[in-house]
Amino acid sequence: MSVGLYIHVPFCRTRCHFCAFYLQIHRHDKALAYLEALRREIHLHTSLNSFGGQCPSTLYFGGGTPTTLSPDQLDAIVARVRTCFGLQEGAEITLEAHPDTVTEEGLRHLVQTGCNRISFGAQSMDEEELIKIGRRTSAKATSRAVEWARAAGFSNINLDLIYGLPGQTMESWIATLGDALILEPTHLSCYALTVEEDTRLAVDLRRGDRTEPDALLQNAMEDEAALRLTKAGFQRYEISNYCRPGYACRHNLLYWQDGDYLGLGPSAQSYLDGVRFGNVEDLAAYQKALEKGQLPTGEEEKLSLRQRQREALVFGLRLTEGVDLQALGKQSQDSGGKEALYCLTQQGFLEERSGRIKLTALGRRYADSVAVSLL
Amino acid sequence: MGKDLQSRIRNFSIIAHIDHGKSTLADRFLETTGAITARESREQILDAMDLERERGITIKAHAVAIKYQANDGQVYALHLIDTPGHVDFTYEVSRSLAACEGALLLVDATQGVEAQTIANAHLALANHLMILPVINKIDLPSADVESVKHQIEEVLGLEMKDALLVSAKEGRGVREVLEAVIARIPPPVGDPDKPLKALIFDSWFDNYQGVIVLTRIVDGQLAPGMKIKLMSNNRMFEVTEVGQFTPKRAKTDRLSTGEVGYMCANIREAADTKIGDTITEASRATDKPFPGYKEVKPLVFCGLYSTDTARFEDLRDALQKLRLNDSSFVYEPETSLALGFGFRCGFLGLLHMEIIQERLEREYELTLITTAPTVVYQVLTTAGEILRIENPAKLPPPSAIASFEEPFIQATIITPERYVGHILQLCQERRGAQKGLQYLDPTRVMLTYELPLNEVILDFYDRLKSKTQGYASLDYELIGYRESDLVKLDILLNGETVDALSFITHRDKAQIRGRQLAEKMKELIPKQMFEVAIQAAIGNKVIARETVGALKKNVTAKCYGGDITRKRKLWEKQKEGKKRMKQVGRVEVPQEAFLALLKVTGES
Repeated sequence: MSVGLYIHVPFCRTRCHFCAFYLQIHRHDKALAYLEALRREIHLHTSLNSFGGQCPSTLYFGGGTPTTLSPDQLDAIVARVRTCFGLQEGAEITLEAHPDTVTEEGLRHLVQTGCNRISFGAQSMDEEELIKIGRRTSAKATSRAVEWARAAGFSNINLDLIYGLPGQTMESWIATLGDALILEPTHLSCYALTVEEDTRLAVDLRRGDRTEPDALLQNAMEDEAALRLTKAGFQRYEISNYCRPGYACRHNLLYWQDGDYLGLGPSAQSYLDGVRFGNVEDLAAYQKALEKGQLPTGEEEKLSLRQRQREALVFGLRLTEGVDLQALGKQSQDSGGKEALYCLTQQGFLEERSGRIKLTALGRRYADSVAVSLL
Repeated sequence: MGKDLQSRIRNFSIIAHIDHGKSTLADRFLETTGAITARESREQILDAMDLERERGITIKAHAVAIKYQANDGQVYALHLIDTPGHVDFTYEVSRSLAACEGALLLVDATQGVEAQTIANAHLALANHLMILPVINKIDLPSADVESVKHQIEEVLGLEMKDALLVSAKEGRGVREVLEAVIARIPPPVGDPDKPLKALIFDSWFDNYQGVIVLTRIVDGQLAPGMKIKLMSNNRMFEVTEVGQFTPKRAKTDRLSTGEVGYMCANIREAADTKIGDTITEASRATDKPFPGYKEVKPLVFCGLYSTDTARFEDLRDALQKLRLNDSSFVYEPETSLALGFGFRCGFLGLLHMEIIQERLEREYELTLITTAPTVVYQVLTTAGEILRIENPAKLPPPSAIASFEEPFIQATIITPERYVGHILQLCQERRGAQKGLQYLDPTRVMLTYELPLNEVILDFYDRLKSKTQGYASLDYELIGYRESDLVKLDILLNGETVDALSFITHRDKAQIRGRQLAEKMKELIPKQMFEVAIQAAIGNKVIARETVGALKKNVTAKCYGGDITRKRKLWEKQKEGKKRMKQVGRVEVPQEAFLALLKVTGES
């Protein structure tokens, strides 16, 4: 089984209205301090042999906006990862990027360091929609960034899109999908807008300045995306993810295929050897712990075998391919789990086909309800 | 022990409304007599259950023996018997009072008399007790001693010129009360040479010594080694220990005539030691038991089910253990189509029901589903059979019912005059018939009503409190069964009758209760992956309908590392929430929905 490495870069130039991730507004001195702490964290995990001798097969820079760091700074991190953990031959190295934070030259530099997959937060191709969610960028910037990335040599290019945005209509969503397809990405993530607590969006909703996303419209938008993207040659391989054949995100697959991963940086989450643990959600506390030579771990939970199996099932069901019942192993001896699977199948939320259990189209809409029944 | 000692015994209780200062005054007695130091807190004295302390209500009686050196230089033995403070336990109160020769009627000078106080004072008068009025909280600026005196005279006809004025909080007048107890309450009159006759007024189960009985020796004496007989059931035991609470438990050689104390006799079940029963010597029995013994019958029934059907046995064990301690509640297994295997349980009243439920959940870590409480109906079938209906689902079809009766109570309500209108309206809505309206003083009114008990157990007390901003007080007694035009109302979820939700109501109230219950259920049943239809029906006739719309979707858009952590926590919470739900057909029904009837006022 392969293992993945995630690095959280907790900086953005501005905070978007829907975002609930841990981040701070980028400042040069803070970035330097973060890089120093991250260096210590990498060395600490190296000395602790956290990967148990394995080399990661994927490296994923998420955030925040990893491209608020300079190409040189990112280069240094990749180099350190290679030295300390080693990266497998042909490793997937993904970089999340904001279209406004990249340059043609910078992207070329990043390809040279080994980055081969880039994920742009496009969100929408409609200018007005972007303004309403606090994105200071334009669809044009996205188009330009994708062109540069392709020219620089990124082999897998993703665009994140959101449906159910304030002011978004079915027409504008279809237009966004069309505009995105023109850019010929190899991967598309289509997320239903979710109102997270403590976001500007949630505040606006409470004040009555915005209305809750219309669930029925979102359902229709989801169906429309699935239809149009499939027609354009994309495969829907996860509830919110579409790719051209062979371009699924290998790192993200680890989350759903019960893989092991180590997360570095403040708020990053890890799952290694049946233990789920996460770093503190605070840059200063993160730095402080590492200065003292301690891991910046916040919460930690060792899962029982039964929990591991049930979670593998629940997260695996997000994949279109579903879960291999055989591979679930002892799950079949767990009568509670078996009964729940049977009930959900009877009710039309799950289906079993050639030894694999999958969500039906109906089940996909209620994946979280299904998860609660199965846990 | 001779007549001399017996003449220096005083047995008495304190009758008081909640918050009128009973515990504070009792503490002052203990301090004044040196039984405890002021530093020893109340929590240390009463080894009461947590529940009592939290609710501020005495559930079990306590009896404390204190030595008091009076102004005449003599040392007296004072036995203070605490009484339960809730209408559910009226019979227990009457037995505790029967163990006394006198009672302090304690009234808050700022509040005046309350319904409970009057009811208990009547009980004391019925037991021929000497009543000493004590007016408390005279230190407060809003104290109105004259008005309170007037009220007591008006309602109870007590002579108030010797009323005692105290501030228990400040310790003022406490010694005077103790002196009055000695001067005015007569000593016990029993005969030490007669065969043993002792009244049981409380009992509880101790894991090490079995049942511990609180008793008042009427005649004769009780000592370890004696063979005794309980007169209601002729069961025999050998006394292993007697003693008193001082307030610490202290063994003694014997309990003599007139004394109050505890007894252990290797009794394994509280059900054997019925409150009000008489203890006598096995070989030399008293000719007549102490009068007033009654079998107490549960007034209120409900179904108790474990949310986790696998824990049925645990529930049974827990009920068994609780009954060892409290023989006044009863249970027997029953089966519900909706809830599976559980128990039909009978209680003295709503508070008693809540206490048992809380103890089951707290002490035995059970998660329970409780059906709405019901009274016991009496049905005469066309076949001439008399049925006691403790579970509405068991009611025979209307065609098989010749007559249908429900229990009635007489309620006493005391309220500030300005709320009288609201109360008359409430009682009217609850099918009450007014029997009396008396001004206690220009601002306080005592109302007497006859009401069907089933209207009283459905949220009556809370409604009364909210309509009077908490000022009204209520007490009631059962007055018997009367024929009524009653119907059974069923609740259907997605077309299927949920037997655990059926209830019996007066025909005139069926329409509104059905509609309000369907509305309440709609609020309580969460949205599910499909639509849920809620119907209320009498027989085949649907009288109300509500729909819980389906969830439009429930799926996490982003599910990566950090999202997984967040989702796991959320799902775990939802899973815990689901444990408190019961699957009825395909519909998940939360615990509270089975009690939704209690939240239905039946008022238009």
